[in-house]
Amino acid sequence: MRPLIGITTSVNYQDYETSNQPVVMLPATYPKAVKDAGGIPLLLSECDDVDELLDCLDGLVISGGRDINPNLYNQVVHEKTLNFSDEQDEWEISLIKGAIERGIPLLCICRGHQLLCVIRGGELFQDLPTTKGYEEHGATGGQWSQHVVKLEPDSLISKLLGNEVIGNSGHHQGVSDAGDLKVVGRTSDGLIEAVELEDYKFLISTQWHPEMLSQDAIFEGLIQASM
Amino acid sequence: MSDASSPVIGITCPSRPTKWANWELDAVVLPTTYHKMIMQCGGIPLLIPPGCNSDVIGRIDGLLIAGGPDINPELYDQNNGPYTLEVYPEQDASEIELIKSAMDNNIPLLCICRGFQLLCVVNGGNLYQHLPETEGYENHGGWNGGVTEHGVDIIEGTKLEQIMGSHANANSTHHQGVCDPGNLSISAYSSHDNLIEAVEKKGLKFCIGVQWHPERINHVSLYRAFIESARGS
Repeated sequence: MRPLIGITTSVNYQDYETSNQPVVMLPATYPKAVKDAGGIPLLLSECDDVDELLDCLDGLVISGGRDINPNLYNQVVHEKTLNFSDEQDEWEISLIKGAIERGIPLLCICRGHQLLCVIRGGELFQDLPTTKGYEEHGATGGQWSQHVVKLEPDSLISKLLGNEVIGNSGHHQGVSDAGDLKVVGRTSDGLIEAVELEDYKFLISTQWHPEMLSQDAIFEGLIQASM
Repeated sequence: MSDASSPVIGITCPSRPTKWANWELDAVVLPTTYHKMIMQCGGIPLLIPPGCNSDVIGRIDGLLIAGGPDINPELYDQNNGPYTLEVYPEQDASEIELIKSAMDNNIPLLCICRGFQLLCVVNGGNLYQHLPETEGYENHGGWNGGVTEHGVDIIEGTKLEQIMGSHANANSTHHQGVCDPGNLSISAYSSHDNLIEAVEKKGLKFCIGVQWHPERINHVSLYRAFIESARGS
């Protein structure tokens, strides 16, 4: 049987059927990548009881999205940190913690990567374009750029993608401290682009978006581990 | 799933070019009203994106086909009318497959608005492509973002009547409608113009379609009955 992979979504306000109503949203590239790799993609929406949700799932993807509330990593809110949602933070934190407790295969992307690092005691840069040493990290504000990410040999991700990969960049925040996670990928400016949790069955966490870059091996690895 | 655990309800959703924040991407989009109502009534909601095939039927206890875009008129042997808006063949195909699989496997099925129309089409029915220019239905109700309300008369002896009684107030925010329910039984008409507002399929545990949006007008009884039927599927 094909494994069921849950993917988190974000709530935004849209003119959809009626004007300015809250809608659940997710770029279509995520379910497509899961489906193409052989999984059943189902989208998860904010709820109170994550245990019931985790009971249904074989694997979990924490998707990209909005900024995280900086109070969660003991910083005050920077002027460029916008539009965060305490409800979404709380829900996805519970999901990640619950998944790790259960050993559910986990893929964390962009916001998901940052949230994982925060949960594990890490910290973020709130705005890379105004952070010394990272001014040229990549595109922000709806634009995309690409850069090379060097991966640690012997890491799970390098087994799937090799020791060097092209990552894309559309983010304005980044991980400054990965807590108790092992850093396994960095760009040439030193930014933490990939982490993993030692002795965990399957956990991949990337600052870039593998679902936009046809990095099928990551999704195939997730599906394999979720069987 | 055992009787003790909450039933898992799959909800279909559209995918379309969408703008938000700084982005413009193809995105899966669904109003939050559906999953909130499922949770309120004791179910676990999981959203099914277009392109997901019927394998998912083995992993859910109930299926909700949500409202959304117009159905490709080729599917009910009509040409595209001037008011039929963008159609989404991938979504049509995957939802048709899901509806058929749910009926074949006797999985409880609740079909809303577009879902109601598609349920009728799958069962051999036919649609009006634009009510505001269809004789007798010119003043049916709100569409293109407008919302109105009207009464619906529910037919005695139907499952819908057992759940909701003989009359209900319904919301209206559609420009297409069902003119022929195929081999389904009609369970309600709108009070003011007799448009078909609800259908059901006899012989199945729970297979109901409604033209209105019960999740937006607090028709908790209908959602509760659906989820109770899914419990123990």
